[in-house]
Amino acid sequence: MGVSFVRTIIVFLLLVVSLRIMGKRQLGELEPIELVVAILISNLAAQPLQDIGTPLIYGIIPVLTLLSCQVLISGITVKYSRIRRMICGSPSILIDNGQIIQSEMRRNRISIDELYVELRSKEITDIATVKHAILETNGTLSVILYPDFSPVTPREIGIASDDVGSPVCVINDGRVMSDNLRLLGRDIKWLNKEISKRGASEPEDVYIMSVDGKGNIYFAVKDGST
Amino acid sequence: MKKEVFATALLAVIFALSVANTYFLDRLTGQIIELVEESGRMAAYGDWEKAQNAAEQAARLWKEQDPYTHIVLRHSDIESMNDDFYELLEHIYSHDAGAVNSSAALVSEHLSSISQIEQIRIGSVF
Repeated sequence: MGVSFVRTIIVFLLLVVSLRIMGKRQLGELEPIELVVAILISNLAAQPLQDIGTPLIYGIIPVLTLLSCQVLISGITVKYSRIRRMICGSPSILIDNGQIIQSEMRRNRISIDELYVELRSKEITDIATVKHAILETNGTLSVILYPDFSPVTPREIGIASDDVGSPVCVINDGRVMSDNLRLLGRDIKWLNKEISKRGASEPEDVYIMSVDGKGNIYFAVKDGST
Repeated sequence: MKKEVFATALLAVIFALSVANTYFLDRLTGQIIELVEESGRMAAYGDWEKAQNAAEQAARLWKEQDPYTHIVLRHSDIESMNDDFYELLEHIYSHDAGAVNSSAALVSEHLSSISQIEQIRIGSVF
């Protein structure tokens, strides 16, 4: 028990340090601590399940220890930015004012091909349009385009945007979502009327129906219903 | 902040339980080893009744802790320990002093190894 506890803490710290050394590109949208816990917990939990001769406590103690370490370190990193930089690293600027920072590319072991892959995944094909590209601590790339290449917003072209609010689902696979209906200030009578207007006889025939803040309705009947 | 306090408390509890477990296991194995060694000594003097009593008491003490040992020790270790006890008792019943001596040494060695594995020391951690 005690040995499991101490071993878990040693392996946890070792993996966090290893992942920091491996760099951000290995993380895949998780912070180093989260990745370590995700890697270890699945294996630790599986071991006593596979071997009934191993007491369950051999899985429980390390899992609880890891969770506690993760919560504790996450809390500390929120409070102390220096410790956060030490554990999670800091964002790396790969493109600054259109200039590729080659030293940062080398430091993060990112090739130009990989940078292009990341940019293409964000639908950017011309690197010259990128003003800033920042490799975040969780391994994702944030891109800021030059204003000339940024998507135009309604405000920029002086159009009043029509905020319709977020649509609310009122029928989900034939089930009436009563709470959502109440949220919209509507009742079942209104719902049945709208359904019959669209050719369905009862909510069970509807696959999905959603209503936005302006009262616009999205409606789809179930396959085979009329 | 509540979460962090809870996590710290949980770590402290796990650590305290680990230390308590190490202490308890060390005491338990120590008691059993004493009885087994006494049994070996009595067998060497030819006092088979005392040797048998001590060995049976040791085996009983071990068996009484079944619920605890099954929670904290690998089941293969428990089974192999039980086999060692059966072997020791078998040699005592057949009044084979030489075999009792080696069986008692085996039981003592096995018990102290179980206890040492649980001690938080460089050797057992790495």
